[in-house]
Amino acid sequence: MQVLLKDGHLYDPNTDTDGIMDVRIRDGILLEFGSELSPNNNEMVIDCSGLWIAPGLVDVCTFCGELGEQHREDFASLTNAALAGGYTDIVLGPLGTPCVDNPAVVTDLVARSAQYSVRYHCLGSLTKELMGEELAELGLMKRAGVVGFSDGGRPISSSLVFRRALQYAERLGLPVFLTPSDCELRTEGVMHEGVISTQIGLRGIPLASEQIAVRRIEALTQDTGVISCTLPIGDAQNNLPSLRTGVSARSLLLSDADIERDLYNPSFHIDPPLRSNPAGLVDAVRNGEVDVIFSHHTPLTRVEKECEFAASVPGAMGLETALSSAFTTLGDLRLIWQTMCFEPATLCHLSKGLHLGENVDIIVFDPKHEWVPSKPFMSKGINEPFEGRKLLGKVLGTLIGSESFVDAVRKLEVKRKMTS
Amino acid sequence: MTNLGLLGQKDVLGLRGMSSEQLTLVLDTAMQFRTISKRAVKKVPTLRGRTVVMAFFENSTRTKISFEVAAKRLSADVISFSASTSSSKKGETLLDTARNLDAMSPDAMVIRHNQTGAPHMLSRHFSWSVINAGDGINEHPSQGLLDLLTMRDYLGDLAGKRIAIVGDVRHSRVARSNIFALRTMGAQVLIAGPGTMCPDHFEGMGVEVCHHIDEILDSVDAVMMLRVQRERLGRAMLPSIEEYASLYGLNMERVQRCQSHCLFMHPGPINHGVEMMPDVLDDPRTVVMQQVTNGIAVRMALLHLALSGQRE
Repeated sequence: MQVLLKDGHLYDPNTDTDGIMDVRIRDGILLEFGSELSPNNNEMVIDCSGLWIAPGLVDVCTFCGELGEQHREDFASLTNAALAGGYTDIVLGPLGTPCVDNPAVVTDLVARSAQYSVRYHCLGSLTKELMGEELAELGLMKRAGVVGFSDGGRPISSSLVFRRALQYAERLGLPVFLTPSDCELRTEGVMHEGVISTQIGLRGIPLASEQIAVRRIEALTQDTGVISCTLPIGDAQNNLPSLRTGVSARSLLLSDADIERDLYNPSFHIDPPLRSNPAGLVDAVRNGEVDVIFSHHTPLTRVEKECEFAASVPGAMGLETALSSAFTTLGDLRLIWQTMCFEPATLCHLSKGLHLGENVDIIVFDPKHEWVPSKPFMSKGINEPFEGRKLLGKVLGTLIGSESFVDAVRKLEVKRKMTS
Repeated sequence: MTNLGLLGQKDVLGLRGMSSEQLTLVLDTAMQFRTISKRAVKKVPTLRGRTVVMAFFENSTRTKISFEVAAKRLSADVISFSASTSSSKKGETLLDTARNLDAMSPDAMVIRHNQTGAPHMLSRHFSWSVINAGDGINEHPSQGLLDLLTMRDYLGDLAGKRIAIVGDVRHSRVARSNIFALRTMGAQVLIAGPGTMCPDHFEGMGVEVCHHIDEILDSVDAVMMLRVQRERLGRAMLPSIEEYASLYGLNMERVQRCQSHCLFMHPGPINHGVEMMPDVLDDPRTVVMQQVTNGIAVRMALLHLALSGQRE
């Protein structure tokens, strides 16, 4: 099957591509791109005028329940969610049952994920069982294929263990992804501490929890020389030149005020919590102070979320809405691709871009399409904080490799007809 | 059909957002019901044939009894259960429990739960009225209303009155409900307590935050002492109970510095010798028992207003 995507805005800074162009793909292989390519016989032509075509997004620290928690998410549902959201590379966090803390688990995950069109990569836990006490087998996990390490959302309380883990990881040349929460203050509450938590009677987590943790990470990153990325930052942090930082896409749009607006909706119970100043975060992204925007995708089930706010398991879905919510607030697709594709790819040593003669890896995005996320979702989760809320910009198609190519093109054609 | 009741809302989840007209309607209705409790036959047929479930997932003595007495004096059928006798001990979720109760067609559920927002969740899922009898550290609306009624009885119009709330305001649902209601009625609210219990965030609720009780005693019209909830205290909230009693407890020396009409209130149960010294209870300005009496009238009013509406 051969398809010509006609008159889309093609973007790939690696090949200095940024303008109205056509893209020709045959059986999942990128054949050529350029201005005004002539349609061939027996070639499907899809009018992409007004649409944005660019390499698929990269997400870091995504949760998948493939290890013992398939009721939350498995590779099949995660793949569908990723494709719907425009992601073609997913870096999985180490959380699971068992967690990713030894090479056997890494090998198992890599093998299980191989049959899916989305490319999956793993982060290894810095410490055994994410307990923050003993170092995990970081070197052997690197050999098994991890692209980085992480605390898995559970900050290491011992500064001694933390420092040694970073020292050890530094020599392995892989990045570490760290959670900006103070180990004790984070347990104080279930939302941002402020006037709203006071008014609605939920215990708050002070902003100082994040500020202390960020400065601690900064000090140890400078001390050890490791490449670290702190995420998700919930509030703008100034003067952190030695640190890479990331925000969740949702935190650019949502704040603690949403817990009051949609009172006690457990989909807003997130750890670290939504803070009070999304406009400040948006400015930080625009000023280049934020390196990565990620989905912070944590799908949870009815039992875990259909309950009282504080009793619910913290976390929210994000893969299917991250690009749209980021676009709704930022409105700058080049900046979005920098932070949601190229920078996370560089951090994890992944190759992204338009490579002729290789498997295609692009998404087609309609920046004018308004939509309202609603059930059923591709993910198994029920905790989508943007459910029922209008977002701007939608992924119409995700084309990656050859196996799902025909199906993906047909879906793109149908969606294009529906929206044009 | 959704039952909006005479209050114009299906549920009583909190005093936050209730208008002064709604609050006044509850208080005026409570005053009418207060006379029933003084009769020889303390019963009216207002809620005959209606079923009220008392679901107490947290320990309670006075609130539970008060709601039961209120419902029975209105002739409602009352079903009571507490966490120790319910399936929640076996791991059933609140929503599961409520779904089972829903199958028995209740008209209202009075719920107390240790989680903020538990009544709100039930309210979204079910058509019957939900009356919050205390949720986590959030609100205790019937307590706030009975306090309001007691203050109105003695002080008249509450607009412009200065009401002090002393103690662990941060973890107090009684304080939150009082703050919302008092602010709506135009009163000034001052809170006092240690920094760990009275954070400055309360200023965002239109409250004056004072750290020393002695600064404000001579200028207020009522002092509401909160119970030191030892079970809710986290680590390092207080150096000692003795220090708290000395710095913030209401003793006769402090009482004597208050205005002659100043009321002394406490939601109970009192930690004697901690937040309130025993001899303060003997002062004629102490209205703790009047609060309890008003509690039944206010809860009768709430049940009546919530359940008397479209479905009748």
